[in-house]
Amino acid sequence: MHPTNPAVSRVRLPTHPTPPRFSTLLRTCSLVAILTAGCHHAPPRPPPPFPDASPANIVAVTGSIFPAVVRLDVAQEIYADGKRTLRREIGSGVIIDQQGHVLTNYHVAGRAAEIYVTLFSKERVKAKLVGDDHWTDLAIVQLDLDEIAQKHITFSHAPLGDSDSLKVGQPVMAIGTPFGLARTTTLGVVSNTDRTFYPEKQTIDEYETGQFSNWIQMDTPIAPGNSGGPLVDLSGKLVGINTRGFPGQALNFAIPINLAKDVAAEIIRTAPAYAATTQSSATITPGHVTRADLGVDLMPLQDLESFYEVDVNTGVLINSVDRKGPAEKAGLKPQDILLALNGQPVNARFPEEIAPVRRTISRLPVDQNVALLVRRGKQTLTFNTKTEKLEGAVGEERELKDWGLSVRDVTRAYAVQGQLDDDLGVVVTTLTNGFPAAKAEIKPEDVIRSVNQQPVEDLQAFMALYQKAHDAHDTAVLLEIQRGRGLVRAVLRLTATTKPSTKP
Amino acid sequence: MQRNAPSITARLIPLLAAILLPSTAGAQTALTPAQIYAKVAPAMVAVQFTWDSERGRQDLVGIGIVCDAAGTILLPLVMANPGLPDDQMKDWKVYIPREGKDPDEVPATFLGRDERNGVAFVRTTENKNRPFVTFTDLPTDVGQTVYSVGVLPKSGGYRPYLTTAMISARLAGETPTRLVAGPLGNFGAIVLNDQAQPIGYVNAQAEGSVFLSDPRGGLTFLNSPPKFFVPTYDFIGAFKTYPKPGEATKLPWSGITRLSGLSKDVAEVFGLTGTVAAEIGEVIPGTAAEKAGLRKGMIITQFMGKPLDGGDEPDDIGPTLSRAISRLNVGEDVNFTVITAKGEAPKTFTVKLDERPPTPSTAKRFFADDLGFSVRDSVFVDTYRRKLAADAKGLVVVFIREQSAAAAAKLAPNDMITEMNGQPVTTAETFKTAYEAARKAKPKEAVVIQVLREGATEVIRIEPPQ
Repeated sequence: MHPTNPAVSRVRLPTHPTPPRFSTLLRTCSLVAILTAGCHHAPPRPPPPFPDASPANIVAVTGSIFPAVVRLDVAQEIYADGKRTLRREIGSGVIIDQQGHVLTNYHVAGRAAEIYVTLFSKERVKAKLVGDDHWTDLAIVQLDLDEIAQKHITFSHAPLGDSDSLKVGQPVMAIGTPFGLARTTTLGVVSNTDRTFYPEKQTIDEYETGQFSNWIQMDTPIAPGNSGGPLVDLSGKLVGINTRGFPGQALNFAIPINLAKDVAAEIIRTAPAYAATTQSSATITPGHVTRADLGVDLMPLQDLESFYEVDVNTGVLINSVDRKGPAEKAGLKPQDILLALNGQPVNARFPEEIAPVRRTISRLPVDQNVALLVRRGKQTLTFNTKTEKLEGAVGEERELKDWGLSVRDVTRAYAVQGQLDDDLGVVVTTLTNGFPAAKAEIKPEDVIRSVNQQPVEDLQAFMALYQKAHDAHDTAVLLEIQRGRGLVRAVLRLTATTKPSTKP
Repeated sequence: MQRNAPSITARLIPLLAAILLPSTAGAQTALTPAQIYAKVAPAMVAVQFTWDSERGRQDLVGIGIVCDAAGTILLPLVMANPGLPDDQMKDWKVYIPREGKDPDEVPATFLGRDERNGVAFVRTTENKNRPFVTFTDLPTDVGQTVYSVGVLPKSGGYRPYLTTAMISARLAGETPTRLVAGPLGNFGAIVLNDQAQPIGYVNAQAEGSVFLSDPRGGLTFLNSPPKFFVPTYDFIGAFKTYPKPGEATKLPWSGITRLSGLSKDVAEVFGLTGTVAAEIGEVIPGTAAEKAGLRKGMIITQFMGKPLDGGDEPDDIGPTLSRAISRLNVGEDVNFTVITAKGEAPKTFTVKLDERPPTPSTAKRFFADDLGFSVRDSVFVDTYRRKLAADAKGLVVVFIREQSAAAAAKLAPNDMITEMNGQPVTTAETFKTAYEAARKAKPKEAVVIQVLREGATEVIRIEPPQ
């Protein structure tokens, strides 16, 4: 399964854009309506469990939701061949408030350097990235309100529904820009309301994702380009964000709106004021979600209850404890059973219950004491530790054009995954052919530990040392590199640059 | 007339020179290919053993060269892969091809491996006094015509076959090799000069099979024959003392790893332009090198008071030095001349070589046949690779039977089992006892094990077949 990444230029257009199910479903619904109307002696019917896909509902929903759906043309900032570069893609989004905030996927608009939004009216306006969150694959973009005002453009926003109330079999509609085809509507039903991919570890590029919620699974056809677009129920309320799918399989997945609501609110709350975002994205922290981390990998207890002698549906099994993480510092071990956090019970008997527990942990305050009630063997013990801020494995990235490489900060998560001794240094991500770093046979995943015999603690320190070497017009820069288990040295041969003239 | 006639002295000079100069191979008349074949082919045999493991049984056949009157047979090391435990290699046999008949089958014993010299030996237990060849260190020069006698697979009755080629380049590197223009015999074939004297054997190539018994192999090696061979001088030491059955050769161990050659640019920064030098990538804690004060990052400029061997390129320096160390003996003192930091004067460190710690192939094993996995004791490399304390204990999973309960539970090869049913596990022997007791006491209940996998732990529940 892949994110429904837009790739309009590379993909052949589908030959049958309208799914046959659409018309069949319509006919069936009409028939039901007629029969019901003609039956006078039927007992009073209970209210329908969910709004149905009647022609009237479909017309009403498309009428109300379309003006809130947008097409996004995004240039994402990525690093390739040793350089910061842009990757252009098309996706979908939905306007969620009067301030012109557009909810979309991280894999559509996260790390965006440039965004154009095409509204329902076919008008195109500039937009800015307010903030993003790869953990939930969500991003918030804001329309340029000045441009909107100047052009006298109007837009509407979609009312937010309640994804917890969705029922299996309930009709839902997806609206978006599959393969660049803007304002495409498809209809289907909810296939499952708590789909989990546990224990699969999902990523977007290399960014971790999908750990904090289960998915809405639907058969509603979506395709690359639908990503970030709305999934709505037949009352016209936003219930999900279309995100992933098995292409052509009627197995598609949306992020529940109840999760997206929280994330969107947090991104908007933490975002710097609109005017400030005109600066380069490198200098300010955009809107984000701060989560707490205990450094544990959790596992459902299904069928292990008797082995551990615990009651059914009590606690969650600790599968692994991160090296140097908060849980390890507190003394937790694999196979401990976590019963409660600060007195609040946490239970996961089934894989579907893992994401909610992770979410509970993530909502703990960061850098605060937390009491962990744990079952170990026959003992019930309390461990105290301090939560840490959840950090992904992908650190901040920079390009060094004249050296011909891009580097990332080594985060604790990266160090844990790569079994590095510590999180010092910067890791090489990409190289430019023919430039000094490539010539010195530096390789991706090398960890640079020192520059000209000055230790590199983190990205900031590295950039300072780079600047120093650059300003001094060094023609040879000595790097110490950790490559796997071994330390190696490399010398970057730089062409002597002419010193900047001191004369006016 | 007399002026034109060469003097008697002039006529005698070439004759005298021929008598007085020491005779060399090159000066002798070359044998004909038929003579070479007739002389060497009888010493070429096929060697078979049965690899008997959890995976089942498999007969593996490769080329052997009879190298003495006692019926000792030389094999390339990879044929007796050091990763295989000795007790999994059974029923050694030698097939001696016979013209017009099925090959003669002679039982043999495995003498052992000589990892320093990259070879292994077996010896026939009967039918001795067979023709043999003697390896001596002879020149291998570019332009020299060489012959090679390989052995055809079973479909060819294990008959020897002759090829000819010319040495086209000498390559250094970790294992020195010679590149030839023209075909050599298949892997394990002997290489000869035009006097039918052995000058090397054909080592593993980028393509082609190690075993004659490889069903994918067939006669394809005749289409893309090997191009490289190892000259005798690289393994001549193997003939001094043969390994003894059941006795592993003691290999020296300094504790220095990840040696890499200094590039020209780095050498220049350290004022070592023109010096062949290697930097120490890692020094394993607790080893002789660490005790002697060597540390990662130090730059070795001399070994045993002599400059390092440069090989063909900087990448060869590290492996060549590692190999030179491995040729020495346990307990020997070796000297490294080292620069500890930029601008510092060289210092000499003396390291008394330790013995290499046991390898996985010597570790005790246990096959949990009912659930379909096997484990072995952990050895040095297991704790080292996982960055665990040297005394950390666990059992390494070496085999998972397909479609078994262990496979269904997603237990994986290389997982290191640290606990079973809540109890720590340390050795294959104690694991076997505990495992068998648990299976007997509760045959229907799952076995819960904790493993280390890529720096994290995994709890794995193996559900027995119901």
